[in-house]
Amino acid sequence: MHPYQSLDKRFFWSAAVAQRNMFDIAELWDPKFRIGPRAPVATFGSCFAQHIGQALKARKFNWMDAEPAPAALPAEVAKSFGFGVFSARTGNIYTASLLAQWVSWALGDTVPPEEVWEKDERFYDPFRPAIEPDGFATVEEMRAGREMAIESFRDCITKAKVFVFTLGLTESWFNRTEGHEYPMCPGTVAGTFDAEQHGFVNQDYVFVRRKLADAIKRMRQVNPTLRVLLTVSPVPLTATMSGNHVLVATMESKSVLRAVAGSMSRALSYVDYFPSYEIINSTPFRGTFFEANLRGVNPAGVDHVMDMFFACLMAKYPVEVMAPRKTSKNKADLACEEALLGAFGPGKGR
Amino acid sequence: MRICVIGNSHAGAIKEGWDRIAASFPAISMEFFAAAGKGMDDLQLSEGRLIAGTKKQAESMRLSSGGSAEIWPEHYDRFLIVGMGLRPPQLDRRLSEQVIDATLTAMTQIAPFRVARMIRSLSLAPILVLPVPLYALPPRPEEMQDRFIGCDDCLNRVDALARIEGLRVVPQPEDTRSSEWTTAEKWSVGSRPLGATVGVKPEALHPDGEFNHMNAAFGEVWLGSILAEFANESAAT
Repeated sequence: MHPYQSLDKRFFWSAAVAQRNMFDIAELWDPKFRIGPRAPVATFGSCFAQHIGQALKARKFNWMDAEPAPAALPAEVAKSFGFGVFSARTGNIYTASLLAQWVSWALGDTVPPEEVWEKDERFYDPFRPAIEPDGFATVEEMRAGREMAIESFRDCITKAKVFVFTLGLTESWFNRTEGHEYPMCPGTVAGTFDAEQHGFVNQDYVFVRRKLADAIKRMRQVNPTLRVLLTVSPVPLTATMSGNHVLVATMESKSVLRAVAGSMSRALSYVDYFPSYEIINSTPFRGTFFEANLRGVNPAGVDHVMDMFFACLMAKYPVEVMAPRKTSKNKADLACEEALLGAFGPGKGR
Repeated sequence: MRICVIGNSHAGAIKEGWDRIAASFPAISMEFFAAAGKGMDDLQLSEGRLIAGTKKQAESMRLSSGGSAEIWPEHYDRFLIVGMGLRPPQLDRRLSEQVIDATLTAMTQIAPFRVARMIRSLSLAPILVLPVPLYALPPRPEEMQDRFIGCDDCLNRVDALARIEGLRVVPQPEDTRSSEWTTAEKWSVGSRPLGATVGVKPEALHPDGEFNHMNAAFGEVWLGSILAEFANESAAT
């Protein structure tokens, strides 16, 4: 008798995967902790994190909207201003180090840099460059808006029961002098690129893990019962500065993030990992869940991921989950700054 | 002068106010078309008149008007549109001008203004839009901290947008308020549901602790100030 002989069939590729229809592949997640319908859940991270927030909201879970849009603002307009996309108007937080930076601002450990980007007499927040489609009217307005976002992000850290974070990128841009990180390369969405000031860093496993651990540790200091659910975005890079082919760069980047998420989940009882990345990306699913550009995740993929999420959650912690209210099926609904890099590809305007 | 009042449950206080002061304004007649909640949002334009979009709405209009489920704008000299979701928004002062503009512009697209535009397409008579009364509750701390753009400042900006189309927004009278964002409690005590104000359930009262609807005295003060203004306009012309 050897150890494999007593394993459940879900641990064998043939029985759990190869002999099944892809839609019958189940039990991909064994949740570590309960997420009840009343537990406040905050969601942040890269573009794919938006789906988790929307799915929770659609099923009447307590998705935190710590920075709600004015009630009279129509939903589509609100979304264009970054309301209701994540639990606060942070814009995309693509990297673990950006998460650590937001946590540091929110808890008063550091203050946001003075840096402001200006174009055509409008002002842009270097840390939320697309949050106001036409920029802010004044520097003061931009800072006041960021102050609201930081305040709301702090509320999420301190009041959430579960903090969901979707790791998106390892490739990042830093200010060489002051050390702060930008969510987007300056000059792409807004700002002006300065090779002297702006440095590229492709974060490795050690760096990502340290930053993520720092962020989680700090959040738990102010909210000791906070649980963290990590996911990895299955969305490939729009463009890479790594010097590798974008496909190779994507695989490396996602592999690093996946490894960090797994490591954190194994190391800490209050950190879990949900395999949305595997559900979309792994070979049994044959790319079915990607849009024609092989990058965007199609609505069927999003639904399958979220159905799996709730099915696994209910299997372990039975709770009545409402049928989802109809949500938008429009892929363009996602607020994703990184996709804007696509506009800079060969033959595109620069 | 014939005045048409269109509204939701908040029109009840105006109706009760009118019942109190009608004798003082013998030259004015007033007709009410009201339905609770969003019941009046379904009004439709049809062949020179506004008609109910649903049977339920038609029934409410008949009960409140004393028999008619059609509004013929040409029959009236003034229009008051009451409540129907126009509530002053609490906009954090730190919001950008773009967000504030988009919000206030969006407010001019909600039900009372849709109804006002339908009327305007058929009549040049003055149309006044009365917002939902402020809650009759003690002000919350954040309402006392100057955190929000002023209630009247917001309504004035909505009013400025509405005036382009010949509509007017009339803020709640100053002397009914206990703070910028709240109505003094006495104006809510004894408030009655819409059905009671139009005689369907004459004895009905809102439950204790009701803070969203106002009473006859409130309606008297607000309507009285509007009618006085109308009287001045008439005298001036």
